[in-house]
Amino acid sequence: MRLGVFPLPLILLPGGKTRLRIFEPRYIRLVKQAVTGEGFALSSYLPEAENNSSELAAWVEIVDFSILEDGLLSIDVQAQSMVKLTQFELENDGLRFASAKQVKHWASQTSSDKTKLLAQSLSRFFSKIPEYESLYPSPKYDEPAWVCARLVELLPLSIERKLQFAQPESFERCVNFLHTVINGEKNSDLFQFQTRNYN
Amino acid sequence: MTPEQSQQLKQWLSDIALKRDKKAFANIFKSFAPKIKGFGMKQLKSESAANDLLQDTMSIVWRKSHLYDADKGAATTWIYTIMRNLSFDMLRKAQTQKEDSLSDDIWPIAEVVDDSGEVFSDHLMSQQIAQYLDSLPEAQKQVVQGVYFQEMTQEQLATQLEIPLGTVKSRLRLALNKLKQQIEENS
Repeated sequence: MRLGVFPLPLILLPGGKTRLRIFEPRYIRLVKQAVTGEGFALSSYLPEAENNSSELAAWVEIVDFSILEDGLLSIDVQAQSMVKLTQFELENDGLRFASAKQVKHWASQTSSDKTKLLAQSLSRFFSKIPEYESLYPSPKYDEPAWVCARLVELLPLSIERKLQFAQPESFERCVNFLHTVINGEKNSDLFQFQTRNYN
Repeated sequence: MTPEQSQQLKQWLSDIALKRDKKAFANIFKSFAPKIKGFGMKQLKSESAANDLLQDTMSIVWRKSHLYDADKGAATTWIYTIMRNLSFDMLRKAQTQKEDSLSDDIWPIAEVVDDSGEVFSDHLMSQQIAQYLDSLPEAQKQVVQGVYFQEMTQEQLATQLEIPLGTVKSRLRLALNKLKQQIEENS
């Protein structure tokens, strides 16, 4: 399928949402086409890359919209799956289109001690930062892939780093990565969790 | 400036910090834009550089408002300090004109100990974003900043995890090193 492309300095993984304010004519056109058709591709903006866009992108659906006080259109988009973009074409108004082929992201995963801890942290982040919480009315804390994907989106990491976790085989690496950063474990060894009792 | 005005500025900063209040941010922006731009024109001698200075200063205000301590000084002092530091950075950069030697990791290796310097410790990250912002028309910059800021800063992460910023940085470094190893082992 051909999708309109919106490159932004962020990454969305399947299930991820973000809110965008739209006012440039080319992106208003993108939104118009997206609501009647097949959504659009939210790619990661890469200044050095061809078309300034990552090849891997989130195929997003517009799930909500509103008109802001200043008259601007605000839309909430949610990533359905990852797509690989090829054959970019730039149209006259500056909007890019590309051929999009759906690609796999992480398979569904079973919980482990590590992912349970990560889910706890994510739920703490959400409860303390209302903006995040409001985006996800029904958070899936019991789905490790969902939890890890949201954490990747939130963490202060470069886009290039985050894109590594958009690869289908990266789940295990991602869990270990988050385990080190969020859970603060030096070794990915559960032995570390056991508390000693000398009484 | 009257005490009421000064109090109002403090209130706006606190609203930004606690509620991520965009309206308060817009008010701060409006109050400081002319002066910062004027300062930028004078120091940097170019309108686009002055605009960059304004943009960068305001983006730090938005991200770091939680670090502002109303007991330590006026809001104006805090914001103008950020502005001046950024302006020095820009001047230094313009003077050397060297290619940015960004390391593979985006975090500076040296831990920043100085409290006031902490505000600028994710400078390299800002550069990456600034590069993107430069390519956009003015109005869109603000939108994109709004988008970008949904990501946590290192400081926010430290606050949320209730650990020191230095620990966040070293954890991130450690995690990145391990990631690299894993990728190398698998390839």
